[in-house]
Amino acid sequence: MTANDSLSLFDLRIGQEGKVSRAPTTDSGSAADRELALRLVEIGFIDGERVRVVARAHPDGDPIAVRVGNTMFALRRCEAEQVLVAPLTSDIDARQPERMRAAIAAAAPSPANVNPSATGRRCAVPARERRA
Amino acid sequence: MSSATLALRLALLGNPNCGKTALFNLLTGSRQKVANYPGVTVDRKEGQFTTPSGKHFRVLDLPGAYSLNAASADEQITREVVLGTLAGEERPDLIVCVSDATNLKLNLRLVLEVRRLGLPMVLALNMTDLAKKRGIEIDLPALQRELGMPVVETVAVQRGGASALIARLEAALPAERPPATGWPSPDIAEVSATQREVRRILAASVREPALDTRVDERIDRVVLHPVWGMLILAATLFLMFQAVFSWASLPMEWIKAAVGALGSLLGERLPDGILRSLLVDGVVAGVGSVLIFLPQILILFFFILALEDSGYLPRAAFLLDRLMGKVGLSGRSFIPLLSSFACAIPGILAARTVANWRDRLATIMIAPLMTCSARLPVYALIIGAFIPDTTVAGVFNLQGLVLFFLYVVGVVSALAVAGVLKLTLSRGAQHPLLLELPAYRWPHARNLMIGLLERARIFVTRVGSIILALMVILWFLSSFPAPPADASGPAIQYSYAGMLGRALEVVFAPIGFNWQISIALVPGMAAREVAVGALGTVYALSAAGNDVSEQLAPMLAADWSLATAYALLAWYVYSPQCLSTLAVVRRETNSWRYPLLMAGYLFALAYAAAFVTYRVALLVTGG
Repeated sequence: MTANDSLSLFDLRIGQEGKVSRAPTTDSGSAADRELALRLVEIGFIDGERVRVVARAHPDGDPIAVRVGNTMFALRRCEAEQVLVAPLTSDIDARQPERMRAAIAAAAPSPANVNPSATGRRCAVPARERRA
Repeated sequence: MSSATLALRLALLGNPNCGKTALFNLLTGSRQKVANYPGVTVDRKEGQFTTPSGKHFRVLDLPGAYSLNAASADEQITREVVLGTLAGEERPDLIVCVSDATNLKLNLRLVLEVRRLGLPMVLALNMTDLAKKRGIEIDLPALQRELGMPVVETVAVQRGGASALIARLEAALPAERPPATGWPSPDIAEVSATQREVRRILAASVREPALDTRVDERIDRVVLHPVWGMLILAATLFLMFQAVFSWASLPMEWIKAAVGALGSLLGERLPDGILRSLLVDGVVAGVGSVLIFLPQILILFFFILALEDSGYLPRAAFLLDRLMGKVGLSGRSFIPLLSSFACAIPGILAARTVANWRDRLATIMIAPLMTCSARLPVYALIIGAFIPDTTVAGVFNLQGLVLFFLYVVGVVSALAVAGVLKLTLSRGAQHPLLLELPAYRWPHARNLMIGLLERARIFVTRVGSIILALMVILWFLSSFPAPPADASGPAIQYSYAGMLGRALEVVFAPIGFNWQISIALVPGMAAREVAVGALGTVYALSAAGNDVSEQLAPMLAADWSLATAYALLAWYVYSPQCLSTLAVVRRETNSWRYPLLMAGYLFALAYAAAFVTYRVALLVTGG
């Protein structure tokens, strides 16, 4: 359980469902991160919410298409890594063909190798639109 | 004046994809006015309607927003209008919050946020037909109680779908407008608390079966697939460009026949002289040759609007995100760039949804490389004259293939320019994408019609005003001074336009342009498609007979070498000469630097490409 808790949303595989275990926070303190975290919470990434990765782009499975509530959003890796999840379904969706499974496993980083807190990847969010 | 006779100001506010604009169309019909907010170029859509009892409303369609905590220029406008802090814009008397009834979990948070402002509010639950179909039961009285505001059901895509809202508006008599207020931006704890409140309200008032996403996800498994999805995207765009050529040919024949008939009629009825020349050579030949492209432009817009309505466009953005990331853009740039295929101006304006300033600037700078519909008349004329109308591989129209190729060259050049910009505008970490992929929907005929009529109106107005005026000026320059009595060549050679063309020919001869083309490029500065009308006028005036107005293409085929035709096509892939685009870039970037840079790089690329094309074509064709 504790190991699963540290998965980031980006580490879920296609068809895999999870529950948000830690919504985005503003720990890092930068204004850009704060705004991104705020927007993620606004669109529904709050503690306990169920999420599901529907598709991943090529290469490296970045960005991902993730369903939260009744809505689907495309998120880049740096955004998805702000959300920590506990996986609910342990394996890829049963409807997934075997060869796709292998392809995805090869493309996506293995959860074991990724420690979201250590990746340090941050989205550079611009200061609020300055030319409006 | 009593307050009853004054129009009440009503603002529609809601999340993106909630059907807000469809509701706006339903309420106001054709009584709409699209303008800009003072000082900024965010579209300001206002319309009017009168209730059966005679109450008059002015309706403002605010840009879609997830939150008052604005992340883009669009959302900032929405916030400032509802707060009453936008200079030159009065605060609305009444807010109609539009929410997608099938997605209240996402939509209600904004409603709660706006409620805090204390303005009179009505909540319109839109798409209730879809909600009922999905078995979502909404307890209206309970929801009204929880929210403390009137709640009505609407179906924006159905005739009469706003009757409950209108009935409610008859009753609502808003109090005095509260004064403009500040708005402390909330912290995450407050936003989370609002989210919990949304869930509590939903639990108390809505019974919703688990959303069946099987169909959508089955589609998405293919459409968002790295390989199949890309193939579908390529096929969609390809079909779009094929359709522009093959579907349009019949209506284009009709317009051509009508223009030709009008020209001959005028030619027969009017006495020989200046007036006949002005009407037949200037107005009919010039304007008619541009008007003929209306069907193609409408087909192109039909595809763009339908793809937008169906929810496919953001998915294309998802697919292309990494590719575009390589040249320093984000998938978000895809939608403004696709709009630029219709016209660079709405494309450049749509770039304001790209939150990152550098991404946005790069998007703006390459938008003119997307082949806009104003270039279509030029392409269509030259392709029609020089490329045989044959079928390749059994199904593809060769002319359509060449057109597709020209579009591809534009796109590839745009990516290359973006790549160069990436090197100069250094950027740091990865930028966010955060793009909603809305549920698939069938495009709605009425909204498509309103969108297409708007486009047709803009095009015909342009043809009737700026293009007509330029045609008359060009006719004057091409007809005067009259040639000397002993002149041997066509009259236009001795006119002002002839002199100007000969002067410009010095510049353009190395890339294979004759003086007629050189003349046509000058009025083409104001609007690219005018170049076609200008060629029509120039050739009509330089021809011996009077029956040439509808025969431009065969005349060009006889007069130009193949190398010249290809060089002109290459020139028009880059063609910098659109003054309105440059003016919009000036406004959007708030500086002369970028429009000048844009004009400079486009001119250099156009000249270089036409030069290379001309020289290579000469070698190949043995000229």
